[in-house]
Amino acid sequence: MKIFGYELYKIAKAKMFLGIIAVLFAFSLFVFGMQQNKITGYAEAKDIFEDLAAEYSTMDTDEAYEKLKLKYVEYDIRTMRFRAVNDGTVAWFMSMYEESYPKLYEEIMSSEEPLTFEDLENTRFAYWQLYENAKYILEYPEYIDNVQENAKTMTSVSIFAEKGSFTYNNILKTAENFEQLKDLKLSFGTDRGIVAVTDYSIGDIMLVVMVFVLCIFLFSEEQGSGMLNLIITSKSGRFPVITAKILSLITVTVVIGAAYIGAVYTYGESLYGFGDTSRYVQSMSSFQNCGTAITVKQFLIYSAITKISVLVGVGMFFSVIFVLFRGNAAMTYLSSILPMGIMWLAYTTVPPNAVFNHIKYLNPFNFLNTYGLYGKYMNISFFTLPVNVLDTLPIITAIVIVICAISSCIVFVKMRGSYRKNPFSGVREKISNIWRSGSKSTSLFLEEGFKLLVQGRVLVMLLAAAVIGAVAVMNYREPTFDVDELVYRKYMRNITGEATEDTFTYLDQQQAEFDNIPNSVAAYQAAYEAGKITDTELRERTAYLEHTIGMQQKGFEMVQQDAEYAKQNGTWFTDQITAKAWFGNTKEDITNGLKFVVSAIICLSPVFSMDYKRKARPILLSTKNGRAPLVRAKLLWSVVILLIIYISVYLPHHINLLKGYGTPEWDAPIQSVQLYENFSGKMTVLEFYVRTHILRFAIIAMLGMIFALISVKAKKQLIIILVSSVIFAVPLVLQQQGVDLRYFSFNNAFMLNSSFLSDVGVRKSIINLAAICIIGVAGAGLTFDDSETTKRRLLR
Amino acid sequence: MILDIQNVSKYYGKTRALSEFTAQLTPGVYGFLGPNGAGKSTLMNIITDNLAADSGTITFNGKDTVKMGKKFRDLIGYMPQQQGLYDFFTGRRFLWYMASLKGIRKDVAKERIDKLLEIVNLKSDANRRIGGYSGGMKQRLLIAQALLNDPDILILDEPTAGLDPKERIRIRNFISEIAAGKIVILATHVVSDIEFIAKEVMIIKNGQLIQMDTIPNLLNLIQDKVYEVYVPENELAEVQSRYKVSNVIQDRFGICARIVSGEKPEEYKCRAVTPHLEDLYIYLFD
Repeated sequence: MKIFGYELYKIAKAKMFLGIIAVLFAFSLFVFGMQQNKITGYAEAKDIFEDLAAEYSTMDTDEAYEKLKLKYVEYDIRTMRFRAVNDGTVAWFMSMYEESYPKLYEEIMSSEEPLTFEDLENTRFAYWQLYENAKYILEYPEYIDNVQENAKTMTSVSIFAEKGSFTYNNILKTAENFEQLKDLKLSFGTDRGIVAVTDYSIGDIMLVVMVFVLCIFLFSEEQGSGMLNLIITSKSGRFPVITAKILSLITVTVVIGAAYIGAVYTYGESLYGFGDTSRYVQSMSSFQNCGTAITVKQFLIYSAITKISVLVGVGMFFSVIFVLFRGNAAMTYLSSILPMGIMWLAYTTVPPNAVFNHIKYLNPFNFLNTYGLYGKYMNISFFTLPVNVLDTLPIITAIVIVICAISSCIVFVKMRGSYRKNPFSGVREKISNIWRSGSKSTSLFLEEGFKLLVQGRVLVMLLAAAVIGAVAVMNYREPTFDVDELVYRKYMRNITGEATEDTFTYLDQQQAEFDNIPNSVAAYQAAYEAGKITDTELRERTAYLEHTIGMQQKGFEMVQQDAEYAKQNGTWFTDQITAKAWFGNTKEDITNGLKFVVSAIICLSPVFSMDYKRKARPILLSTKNGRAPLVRAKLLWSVVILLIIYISVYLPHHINLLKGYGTPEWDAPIQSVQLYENFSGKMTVLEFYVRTHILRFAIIAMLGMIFALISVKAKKQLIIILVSSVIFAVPLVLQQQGVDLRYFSFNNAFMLNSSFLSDVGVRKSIINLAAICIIGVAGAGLTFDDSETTKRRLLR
Repeated sequence: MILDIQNVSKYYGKTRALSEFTAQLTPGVYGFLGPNGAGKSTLMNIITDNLAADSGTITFNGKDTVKMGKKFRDLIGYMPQQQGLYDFFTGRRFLWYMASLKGIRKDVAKERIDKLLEIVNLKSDANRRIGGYSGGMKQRLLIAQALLNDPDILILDEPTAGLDPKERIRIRNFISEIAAGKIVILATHVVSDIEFIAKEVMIIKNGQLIQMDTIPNLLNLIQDKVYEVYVPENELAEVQSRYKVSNVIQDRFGICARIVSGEKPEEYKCRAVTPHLEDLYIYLFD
């Protein structure tokens, strides 16, 4: 127990840990708030809704429904009366109301409106929510009956009727489970707050990150400070220490999880309210598919317990990785992040009904999304037996926790030496020997390069990035085009280039051909009737015109739209499909940015940290070239490494673009690409392409300088990885999730194609990129300063 | 060639690490003696400009060493107390790396690396990974790197820590050999390391230089104050509490304690003996 107490004490005293957790906490709550701001109406109508819900809950639901319907209509008309002043489109709705509710309409229109528009709108919104809620509650028993009915129908249909099959068993189990919900007494209440606090995926990711941070401080600190050897050689240094660490991991995870979930619940409750927490969750349409009879209160409690349990499981998994790869930051990072990344991909991309949907549902991210877990009834096949995903949760979590805890204990107890070789060390040694046999030099740049690339394992990481890139090229599936797109591209191949009179004439001729199809069909018909062609010839020629030529009409219309654009802008014909693939795929841009950033973080993390780790700073700083020249060599190598990563990420992407779409019209002005209609810079597509890449790489080089500053301040490799992940990678993940942070983060460097769509974007980008450059230059300056300043504290 | 340290002070918060330290150093070996935490490493880090002094200056031939910057660092060879080595380097590769940091030409570097590897007896292990080296081998490699640029000022922080007696003697003699024309500052608390080779010994206590002189002059401070006394076993603890005891041995006559004392311990059978530097150390620090 004493060791456990000390472990907790160490965590409580780790200011860096507390700081990082506080930042992640604040950041996550900030994003939660931002997401909620986008949802208008609910928060504003909260108080009115709660009062009305309490009032109507005392009535019979049928009666409440009828009254609510009328009240909603009343407030809708009253709101429309306001809106009609500025919005002509509501007139039609007003006339419909006048026709359907003449008396009510007349009463409203003949009276003065006592409420402001804002109050009216909020009341209308509250009535609408309640009305929808009442409608849903009335329909719920029917929904349950339908489930039963469907079960009978489907089991009698041949393809589902195979007894013993998963589908058959699943239908029966679903019907059986929902049968129990038939007599639930449902009541009014909003679902907005409950869904918001339990369906917050960014928060779930943040919680996982927090647990990862916790593991760094629990399992890596002693390795870094050299204490581990001392610990493991003491009497209680093995099993008692690892059990204390595991207990601490569980305790702190529970505390962090409870505090975080509590904060999110409080935030959500203050925004929307949870309503009467003793009502069944099935009272809300969002939980129509929930197969378990639980109240809102129970759901919120179970949800918190579930999240915390899963986090403990994730923490246990991390603990095994940290103990297994102790002292090897890159391997620890990769081995922790990679499985989590795969799980996330599986969770987000595997279709619900896929044969191997187990990986989607028996997945920590699915378990963390408690709204989906409890709210969406889902059975998976276990040797054709339907097993409810929710039922697997305690079993899987318990198994993971127990197995991982035992594994951590065994690995830690059996540990021989605090340093563990990684699987690549043999390869590294061989490369090192090859290099060693080569000629030596006293060039600081080359020697530092040797240190970083071969001994610092960066070369292995760069090779891995190159191999991943090559695999991406080999596995590339060429895009499929529909008929219209194929026709469009066929035309474009002929006319791409400067828009000339000849081109327009050609297009007019083509248009005439299409326009003439009915006449030609009629002519063939006439020829057939006149006996000039046979029945077969008529059918063949008509079919050719109507299908082969006719089918091309829509594709040709796309060409004509381009022609119109070219005419208006006096510019070139450019294949817009190809151009869009090259310049308009923002999602791909973010993904590439993320690939680049993650690779850069892994590869650059040893550049400065290895000197700290090896306690080599005093010796380096006391040499002639050990300060500014050494920093210069390190920064130069950082840029070289970034360039190699840049090529490794973007070259395969471009090879795939070339394979799939070919090249865009390089000589055309950039405005010929319709995406850049509002871009006023005068340059060709090629110039735009080259300049954006040069600009992007220049910005990336600046990111390298910022990374250097983070490195010399954070010193420890894992902390560097963590801090830079928070600064560079997390905003990109959020961007991918739809939170637009491009102008407030470093994301813009990877999204220049879409940022330059308009002059406004260009202006914002200039400010953003200028800020990055200033921070980058300052970063480089401070990094140099760190090595040159006489205010160092080497001994502290 | 003069390294002039004038009124150098350093505080870590409220803790005094070095106070008004003043010394003038000319070529020769300077033994820097003091207990742990006395301020030896702090001073060395200030001399190498790895640490800023709160006040005071250090000049080399009249020029401020901080302002000299790179030029001064080109003149020094530093072996830190911590074994800051890259485990994955080979010994030879590490020296090449250090040669690049010291800005040594390739041909000169090759010649010096070969020579130094031989001097520190690492030639046969030069192509092995440092991670596989013993503590003594790492110490020798660190000494080699400090000498790589043929420095005018050699700063050695605990150079013989972890070495076996044979290696210790070998390194000590080597330092003595190369000291000609160099200022060698050798910090240690193993007094025998400096007893035979130091031109002068600087004794530092609580960040203050309390003595700086040649060894004979320093030993004069305790002349006629060192005694060997035979004490009954049950009285040893009392003797240790009353006197400064620099050594205790058990021989055929019983327990013999070596006492450093201003007064002759009349209550025991004793004899005056020739003082050693260790006796002075005990006299000053116990």
